[in-house]
Amino acid sequence: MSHHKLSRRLFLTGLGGTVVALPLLETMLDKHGEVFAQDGMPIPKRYITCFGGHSLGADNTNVHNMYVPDTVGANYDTKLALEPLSEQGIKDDVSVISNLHIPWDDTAGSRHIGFHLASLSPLISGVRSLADGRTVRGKSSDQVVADMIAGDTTFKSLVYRVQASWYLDQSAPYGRDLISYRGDGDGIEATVSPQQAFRSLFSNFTPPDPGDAARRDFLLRSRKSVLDIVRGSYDRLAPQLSGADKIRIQEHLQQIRELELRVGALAPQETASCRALDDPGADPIIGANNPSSGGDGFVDTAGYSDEDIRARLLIDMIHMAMVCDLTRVASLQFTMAQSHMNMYPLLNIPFDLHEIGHSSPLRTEGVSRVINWHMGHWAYLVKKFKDTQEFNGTMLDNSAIIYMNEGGHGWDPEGGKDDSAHSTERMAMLVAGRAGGLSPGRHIVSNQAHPAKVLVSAMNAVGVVGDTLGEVQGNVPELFA
Amino acid sequence: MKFILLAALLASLAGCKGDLASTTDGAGPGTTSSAVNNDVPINTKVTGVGTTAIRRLSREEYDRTLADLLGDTTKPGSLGLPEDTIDPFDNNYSTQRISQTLIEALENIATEVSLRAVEADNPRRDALVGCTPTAPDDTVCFDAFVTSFGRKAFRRPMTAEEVARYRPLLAYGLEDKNFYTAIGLVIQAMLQEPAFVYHVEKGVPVVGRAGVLRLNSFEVASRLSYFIWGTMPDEALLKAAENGELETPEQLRAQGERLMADDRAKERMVRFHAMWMGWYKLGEQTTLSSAMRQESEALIKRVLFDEKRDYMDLFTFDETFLTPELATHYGMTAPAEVDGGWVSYGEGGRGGILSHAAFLQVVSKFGDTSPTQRGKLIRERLMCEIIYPPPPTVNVDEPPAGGTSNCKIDRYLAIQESTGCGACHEIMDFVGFGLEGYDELGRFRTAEDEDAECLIDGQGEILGTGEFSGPKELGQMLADNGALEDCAVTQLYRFAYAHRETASDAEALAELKAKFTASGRKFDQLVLDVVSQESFLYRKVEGAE
Repeated sequence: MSHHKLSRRLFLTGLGGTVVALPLLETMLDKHGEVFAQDGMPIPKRYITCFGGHSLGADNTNVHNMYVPDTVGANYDTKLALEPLSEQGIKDDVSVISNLHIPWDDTAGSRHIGFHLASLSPLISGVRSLADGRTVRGKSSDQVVADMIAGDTTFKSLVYRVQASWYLDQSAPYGRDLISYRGDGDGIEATVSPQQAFRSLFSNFTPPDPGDAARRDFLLRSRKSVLDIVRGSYDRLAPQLSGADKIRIQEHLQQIRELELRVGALAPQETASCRALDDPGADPIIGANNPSSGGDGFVDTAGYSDEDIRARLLIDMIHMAMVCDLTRVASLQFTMAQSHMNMYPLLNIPFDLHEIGHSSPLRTEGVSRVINWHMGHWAYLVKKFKDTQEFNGTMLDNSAIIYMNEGGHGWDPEGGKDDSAHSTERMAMLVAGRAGGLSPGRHIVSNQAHPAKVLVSAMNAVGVVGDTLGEVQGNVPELFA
Repeated sequence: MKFILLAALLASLAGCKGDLASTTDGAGPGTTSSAVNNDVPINTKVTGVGTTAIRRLSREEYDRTLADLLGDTTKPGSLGLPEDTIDPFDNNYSTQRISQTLIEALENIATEVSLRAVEADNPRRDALVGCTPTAPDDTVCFDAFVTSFGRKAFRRPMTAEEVARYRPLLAYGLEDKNFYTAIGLVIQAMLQEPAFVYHVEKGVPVVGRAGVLRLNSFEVASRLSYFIWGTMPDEALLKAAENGELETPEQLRAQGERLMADDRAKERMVRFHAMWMGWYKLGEQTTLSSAMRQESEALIKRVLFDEKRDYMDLFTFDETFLTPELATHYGMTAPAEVDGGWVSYGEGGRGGILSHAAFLQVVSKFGDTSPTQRGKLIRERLMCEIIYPPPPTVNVDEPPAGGTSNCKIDRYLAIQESTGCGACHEIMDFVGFGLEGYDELGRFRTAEDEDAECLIDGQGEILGTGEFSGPKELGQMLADNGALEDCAVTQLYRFAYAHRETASDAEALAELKAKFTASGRKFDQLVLDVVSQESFLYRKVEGAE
């Protein structure tokens, strides 16, 4: 770790939590409007992508959504799906971009005609999906950003998922559980355990009690010695192997090395705002699989692992990791694509999430209640950033926080019918924060722009140079206007 | 290495199995760079060798191994490790990823489990350590533990050099004034190491055969125990490996037989069937679902193990194990026993495992049965056919609409009249139609739940084979036509070798199928045929030059 890094981090965290509203004069603005801290180092920018495995409307109804505001521009109205934005008082910090569109014509950034898996690749990476559709074919925006802005933070990015299991006996997610990719087909497995996330982030923080601190020091040293032995074993094994065996063990070895670096990294100095969170304790148990997606045979206690609690804990950890500058980039998948999580415990609707869009008599209202649950957590995340002081503003001023989801509503080229949940027409996305000149608080109706263009704008806002994500070129200039 | 080459060279000169005498290693640490006996007979002309890559323990294997190794039955892997892809089995190497979250989970679990193992009030601690330390830095006791525990955790003996690598951890025992702190750290390390986490099959290269390896004796022992038990080898198996007694088909068969007689084999083979047929997690939801699972487990154990019947009886058997609750659910006479008992089906359409709710509940859709999905399950999983996905103009998340009436069968028949759909749908739907008399929870019915006017005749057909009505006739038809018989062998092969078969597996598979038929379709004999086949001792490494 460089001295240079250390001094900046100490400085940052030293002031981060105290409510010292520095006058703008004490910071410096460069000619691009970049905010600098007093030591001349830029305040880190943060980038978070969140994902929900739902569309905006249900099958067989012309109610496309209860999501997109009627009002265009500022002071937009919030319908059922977006109510939490009003409830949390963050409407002015969030822009809604509606009428987004992923084409299905084998052009740049298009999707293959099959809906569930095929929409992910263009949505998160801007690269068109192919017929087999089982994988995302490009680098996801969070990883592009991480390459650019992670610097020497301890965690290049955090990859978390709230939905703890696939919940179906007779199949597997085949990529519906991945929203972060290092490249074509190279998905990053998400952490679903709050307990594991907690240990990973905070186990080397110094506890306040000196006795505890001595014990922690002992545990840390012994942990390093153990990892040293473990690494040695992978190190010795790799050259004895060949082909795919060797590649796998080398990958494992690389991950151990990175773990050693994280364990060896200097813990951030704790301040009023940067501190180790309380241990969340044992994870909620993983629920049983759903025997049915709804209707007769539906078991209302299966298919759920206290995701409501898990979401809150994971968000708290992302927030604190960013307050302490342990990381600057995170992806948070609330629910899997084509999610079979049971919504009954959360919404009293006796269907799994996916089936609500197809079979629930509540139609688009049911889908909107599903979104409302997601949005409650997302708004909590945004609010937390807004409530965190950072120099003369808030952390949200230096962040771009995205909410995207699986589909929109409208024409389904696969089924050959309109008013379908299996559609990438009329999609929408949310961008919160003011990083890099983002000017939130408005509803922007795009002219069937590709959703990846929204991501390009958010990526630009946190410092990525260029105007493409995968095959998609261009941004949404209104986000900065 | 010199010796390996010599062995390989001699074997290749002989052109078939070598007959070099095996040397043996004791349980103690060896003094050379390898304590593993690599002096194994090699057949350079071995055929039917499947291609694989190194794989890690599935969550189930991981938890069972921890239970056997440390008596830790908390199943931390199932809670903390990334979810396995069930495709349909949980051990397919090609579905496993390496990730930061995997490495962190392995570390967290290793830490927790090791702390539990050395807690002062853990009654198993002394037996685990095996000696009583005279001081917090007792090197003799420490080394003895590393040697004996390492042999179990790594499923092979440790070299003296390996044992020495753990010595630095003893300093923490001294510092902490607690010998067991150091023991805990050894466990913490070993549970993260490749020899524990992965099925390492380094083997001995077969001369002249690019990428083909002959497994060493300990790797063979692990293959045996993880296939049949889903957990680590026991002491007898490790001893057999040490003594070079896992070489001949007779030796492997005898060990296989011994393993099959253990309850762990029953659990493992039940799990194989549960994953294969799609109900592996059934039973956790309600007492009724638990009874459903119990019903199918009981039949599998009875046919395969207790009575060693013709395997096809699993699909035709005329008795079933019911709890009173499940009997009521089915509308059948309850058994006398409160905890459940065997009940005869008598007349009627039920017979065999396809009549069980566990199977019939698998692919419900829209709160009802799906003839298409049931037909697909039977064609793909039980007959090993390949069903191509629907053409890009079909939305399979929509119940079918249209047809001559609103009755389900007419709506499904209408699909078949759609251009381009019929050819595929009739091969699936006609099979499903024959099970329509049984609802999505396995209850008999004569009319649709939603519309009593829509009568269900329950007539189905396997095109090209014949017509049937109900699970008993379907089971009999599958038992008679040979496809199920061959498919069962294929599925077990996939499970045993942790990959889907490719051209390289064809020869071994064909031989197993022939033997299965010749054995009178005895499942236990099939398992023994798998482990005593010559190719069981070999592998080809994916991507190796």
